[in-house]
Amino acid sequence: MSNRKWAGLISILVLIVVVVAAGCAGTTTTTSGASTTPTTGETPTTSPPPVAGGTFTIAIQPQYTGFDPAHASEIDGMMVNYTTYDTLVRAQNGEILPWVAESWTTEEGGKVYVFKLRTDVTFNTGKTLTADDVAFSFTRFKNVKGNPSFQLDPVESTVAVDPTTVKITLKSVDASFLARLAVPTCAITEAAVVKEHGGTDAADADKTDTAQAWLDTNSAGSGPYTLTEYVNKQQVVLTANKSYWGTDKPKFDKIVLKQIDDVNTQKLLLQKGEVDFAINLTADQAKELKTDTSVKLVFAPTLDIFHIVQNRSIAGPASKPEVWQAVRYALDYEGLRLLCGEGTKSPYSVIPEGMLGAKPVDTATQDIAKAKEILAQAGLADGFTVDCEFPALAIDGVDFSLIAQKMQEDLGKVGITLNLKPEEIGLFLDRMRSSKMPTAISMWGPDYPDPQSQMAFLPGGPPAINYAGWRAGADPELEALGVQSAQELDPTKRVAILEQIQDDLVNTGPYVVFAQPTRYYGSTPQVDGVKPDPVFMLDLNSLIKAQ
Amino acid sequence: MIKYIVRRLLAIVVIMFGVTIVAFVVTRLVPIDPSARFLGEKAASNPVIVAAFKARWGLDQPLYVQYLVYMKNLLHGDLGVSLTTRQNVLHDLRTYFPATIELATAAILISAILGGLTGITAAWWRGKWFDSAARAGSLLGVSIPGFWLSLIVLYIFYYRLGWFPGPGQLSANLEPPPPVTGFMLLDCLIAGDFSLFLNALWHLVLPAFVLASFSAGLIARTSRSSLLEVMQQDYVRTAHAKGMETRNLLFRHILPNGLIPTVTLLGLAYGTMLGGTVFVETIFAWPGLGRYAYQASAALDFPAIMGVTLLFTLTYALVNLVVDLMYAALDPRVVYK
Repeated sequence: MSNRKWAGLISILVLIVVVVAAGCAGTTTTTSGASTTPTTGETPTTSPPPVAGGTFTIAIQPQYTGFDPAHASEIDGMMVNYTTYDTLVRAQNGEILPWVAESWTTEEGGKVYVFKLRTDVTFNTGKTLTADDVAFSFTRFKNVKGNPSFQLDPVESTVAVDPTTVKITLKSVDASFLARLAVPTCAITEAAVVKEHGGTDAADADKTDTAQAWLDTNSAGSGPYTLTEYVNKQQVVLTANKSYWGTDKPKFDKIVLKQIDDVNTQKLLLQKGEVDFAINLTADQAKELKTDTSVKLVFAPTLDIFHIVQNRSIAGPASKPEVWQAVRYALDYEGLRLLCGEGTKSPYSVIPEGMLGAKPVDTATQDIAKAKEILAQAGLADGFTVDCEFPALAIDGVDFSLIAQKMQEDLGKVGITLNLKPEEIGLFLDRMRSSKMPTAISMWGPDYPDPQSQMAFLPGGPPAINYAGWRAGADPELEALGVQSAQELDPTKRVAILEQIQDDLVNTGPYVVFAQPTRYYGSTPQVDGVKPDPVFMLDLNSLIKAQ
Repeated sequence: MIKYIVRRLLAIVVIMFGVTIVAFVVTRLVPIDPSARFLGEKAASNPVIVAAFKARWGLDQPLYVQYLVYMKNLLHGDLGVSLTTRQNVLHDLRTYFPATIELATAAILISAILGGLTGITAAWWRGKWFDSAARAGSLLGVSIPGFWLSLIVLYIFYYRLGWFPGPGQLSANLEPPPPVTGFMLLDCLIAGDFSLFLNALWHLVLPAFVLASFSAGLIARTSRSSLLEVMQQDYVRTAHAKGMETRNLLFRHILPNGLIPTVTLLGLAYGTMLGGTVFVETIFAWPGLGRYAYQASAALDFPAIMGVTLLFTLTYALVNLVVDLMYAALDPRVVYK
């Protein structure tokens, strides 16, 4: 064989080896027969005794761009702020528990809250947290008019009655108020420190407050950790607050969140043990890692819901309410759940499982004959074509493109042709605000762990207007129920109202909710105490690492 | 020559001014409201929050006012504040550009050495097995997508073989040195920590190799064909016929004439690499300008987009100037007046 031919053959062999290596990329070999069973929710602490001190490293694909509680609303930003700040109350398993506020009473039928503060809460500077700090924090939060400022929309005023008493007056009775306070966006900052760095709670704080730059990279809080470094695109460093007032002391000297944007890289780092935790694993990776003994999986429930929605303000067959009933029967929910990943549920309506008022999940089933019948009754037996817009990305590991293709296939069986229109997220959000999308596939994450957050889907709420053109006044009875649910403080009565709202939305609403996905976290086998949270991802202070 | 350099530098200033207008207008022509990108759905539905956001970032002003304010600040060295990082854009560029310079410089050195040696050897041994292998290898280099190669290289050499460290500029458990210059290698040396320097150098190898693969392949092919052309020239044949030593023939006649196109290619490649590569930086968690630029453009972060565009323009123009000056150094027939 000539030299040239040998060289050609060698080149082809090299190519084959590289391609085979690529095909093997991502597969792992198990070193023993033991398989790891992923856990859901909290993991119990186990012996041997945990390591004290050192650094705990987390690989993260972050959305946060800063940590000023008055501006940060990204879910992973809230995860950091949950660790560096404290709130008046905390939410756990649907219950509101005292935290900085050791007790509270209500007046005027629930329109006024009087919180009694603990006297042993100290900031990372050593100063005691007082009612003045609470009043300043909440007033600044409202007046800087930052992204999350709507959280305290129900609040009329926050007043420090005395150093340990805070009086909050609401505009009207609001059943979701305490749940709003539990979210890390309602963090209590040390007023003196924030003021020192240009912070103000004045009415024109949106123009005069200059503390954001400092608070984005430092924390003026009382949590178990202090934010000591934030380099955008690189890492966040949380340093243990040695004088933390709480009983659950910080376990590590530092927690480092390393920005690793590529999820495949996160997986490799975790498998090699170079990071202790990876927070953005996908459903496919979770499936693959189930048999990898070098990784422990945790399935973290979310309160996020994925839905397909019709726009009732754009004339055409797709805007008819009965068409969306047909869509409800046409979808293959089991297939969609498989696509979204293990642990995904299909909520009955807009209230996800785990939230007050949620109805049983996975009850909707595909019925093609029924869907066709409904369309025929609507005079659309021959079907129709409609554009369907969605963001060209994945959220919670759910790839919108795959979901859209699956829906196109399902709806095609009943004669509805979806013209899929994937859009860059900026364009999608802009189109959303213009209410011009004939149909759309989107996702909603609650702002706080209370069903009132989901009442945004009623006429006049942001997703209702943006996606469905469903403005205030479109369904007065349904809207009245929404107002009632906001003001009903009795949980049993409130649940009854919420169930009725969901039934109405299912029967006449423009949404079909098809998925409530799960997040997948991975850790090295030595890590324990993983406490996921659907609103702020993870309690970083709960993590421990065995010897 | 000095006059030529001054003229070119003045031309760069004019070009940069033109670029500010083009970049400003083009970014504003995108029919997307940045507040939709930065504010959540609920916040974006609140006109008070939207108005406060726009006022905070000067987006409520007429376009010409926004441009004039930007230019006034630019003349004072202020590139504005990034909507995404909320830091001064100049600070961001100072933070991320050194990492890109380090990576690009390592990659161009690998390209030049690997590509150049391969091309020279392939041309010298034209028709032999090495020539065929070099051509096949260079074809692979220019064909394989960077993001795919990044994943493969990381999987094989880091995960499977453990020959190289993982992503990032340093191992996850190491503290970076105090930032003096912003260049990791230099800062390690300045800190006097040689083991940290070696760790940083070792982390540089894989991403630099991936980044170099395309340009190394291109340089190998270009230098081979250019050298073959020179080797066919009469003066080379005459020198060879007159009994000139091979080494002298190669270094005095063939290489200086044959590598001129390669110099152009190296310059263009370096200028492109300095613009950052999103895929390599993302997969190797390299905190460079490519990721920053991509995220700025995706988020419609106007100040960051302008800052990055100006930096790219300046970098590319300066690299081209250096390449042109190198022509004059390599080829005595080239004279700049």
